[in-house]
Amino acid sequence: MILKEKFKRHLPLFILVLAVLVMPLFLTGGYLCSVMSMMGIYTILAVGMCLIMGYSKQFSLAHPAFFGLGAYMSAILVVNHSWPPLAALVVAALVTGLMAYGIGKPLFRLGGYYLACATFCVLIVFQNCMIQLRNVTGGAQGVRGIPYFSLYGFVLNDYVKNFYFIWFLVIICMILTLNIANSKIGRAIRAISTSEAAGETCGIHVAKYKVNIFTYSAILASIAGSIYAHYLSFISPDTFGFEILLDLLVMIVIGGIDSVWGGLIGAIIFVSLGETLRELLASSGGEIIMIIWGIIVIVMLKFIPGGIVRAAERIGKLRALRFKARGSGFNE
Amino acid sequence: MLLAQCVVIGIVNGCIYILAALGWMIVFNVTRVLNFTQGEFVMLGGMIAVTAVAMGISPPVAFLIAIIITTLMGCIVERAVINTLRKAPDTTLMIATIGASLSMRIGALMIWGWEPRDLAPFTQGKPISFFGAAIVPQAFWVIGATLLLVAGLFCFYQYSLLGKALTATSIDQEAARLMGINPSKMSIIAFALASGLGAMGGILVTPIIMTSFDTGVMISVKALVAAVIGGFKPRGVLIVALTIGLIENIVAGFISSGWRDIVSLTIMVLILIILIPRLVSVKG
Repeated sequence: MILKEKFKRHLPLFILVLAVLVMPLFLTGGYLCSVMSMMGIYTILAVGMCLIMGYSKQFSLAHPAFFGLGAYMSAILVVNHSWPPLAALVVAALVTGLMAYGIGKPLFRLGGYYLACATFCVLIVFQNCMIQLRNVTGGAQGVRGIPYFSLYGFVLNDYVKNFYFIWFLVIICMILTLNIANSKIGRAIRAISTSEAAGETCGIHVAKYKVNIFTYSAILASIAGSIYAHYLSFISPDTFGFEILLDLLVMIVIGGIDSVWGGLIGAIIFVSLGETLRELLASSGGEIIMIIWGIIVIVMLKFIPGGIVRAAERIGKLRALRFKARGSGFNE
Repeated sequence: MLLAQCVVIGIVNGCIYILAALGWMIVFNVTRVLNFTQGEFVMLGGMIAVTAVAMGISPPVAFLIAIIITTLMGCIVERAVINTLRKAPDTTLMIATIGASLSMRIGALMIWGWEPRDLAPFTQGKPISFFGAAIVPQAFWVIGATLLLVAGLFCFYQYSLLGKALTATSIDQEAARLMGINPSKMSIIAFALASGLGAMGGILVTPIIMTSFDTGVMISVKALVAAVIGGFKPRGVLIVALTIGLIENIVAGFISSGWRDIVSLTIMVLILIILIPRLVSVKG
């Protein structure tokens, strides 16, 4: 029975691993592979965002800045100082984490809108800094010629290798995040997000947990940024602005803002639907897609506030109930 | 010379931030939600005024049309977002307003294209020399109109029943409801006021700095900072918004215009991180 329960709980993770292993067999051509790789990068970002926005109900807008910080630090360290990519990735993640901690520590003691305001500023300041610091970051042109990611001489120089590498990281990130969400920290955070006062009286150090989660999601974003830089081989400031924030918000709203799986599902749906719509609407210009996303966000929040994950869960529960009512269901 | 010029332009910019920040403040105080469409109202006001003038409508009428349409947009946003999602958590509401602002911005891009639009100054005339600074007549319009609007708003809140009802709602929504004030109605009035103020700011500033579909974001962020650091209280909001305008234009004049946003917003973030926690904890 315990084994069965365990299996049931880890089933989605098994499906994910299996899908990742099998996927390249169906992916013919570089285009699909590259779309899937971008999906992986978006997933890492969206999962971090779900954790901070859905789990702890804190409104942070600085995610693209942390994403960009990771990308820029990796790119500059590897291109200008010829560091090994892995070292650059780790250093970038650490610096981004420290920065998030520095911003989060004082602000999480205060009300939610202070954080929203400060992170909005950080987002704008970061983008402008990347444009202005021309001799370090290459200004509006960005950094070009970033080499492929390599690990001890093993170079990720084709689509399939990149696909496996990125989705391997996605799986690790999912496992880590799921563990956090299902551990003491995750439960504490869920308690805080329902009622801060109640959580505090139970002995939860509210500010500490919020800062830790904020830092963790910033580190995830930074790692995603490093991979992104190596994967695309060029980065420019306009990637890390308000637009990608909107994309991420759409993803987590579609997938389900208050569950870790929501980030993954949201990224998959957003990228695949986005690519399809772009092909369908190519004649009328791409802008209308953005309007559609804006409307989808409001409609989803109104009718399916938990996103697709929660909706599917509810449907599953209803079916299980009906199953039981028929008298043929398994006993608890 | 240069300093006087910078200060004057800074005050003019500060006035726009004041109008937008008052919008953030009014909406936040009544609904407890940060409304991210505030900047888009400024953009819409400017853009609609430009289009109406280009269609041959005389400027005062065109401005009135722009203000009315933007106010209607504000009410629509309130009905579509805030009213339908009344019971949702704050984060959800903020995400929804960001979604709405995205739709509005891209809609503007599709209607007007990406190029910036210009509007003729309200009155023709040579720039006036003042302490060595050349001041365009439009600057007086902006400063004068802002003063009038702020004074009008003060009187509205202080002396009219509706203003008092708004204040009551912002102090305690439940108690206000018990006194027979309809919070849903107050919320729509707050949005109408905020979007109207934003539209007026947009119309006033378009002759000086041109308006394009993405002006909203920058004005939004500065107005938000002014509103938050000002503690969502009128006096604080006025002071902080003016300070941001001044810092920005002094930086633009003496260092380079590329650094204006970086310096002003970094100073504001540092104030938020270092000063505000102490002030708030002292109070609490």
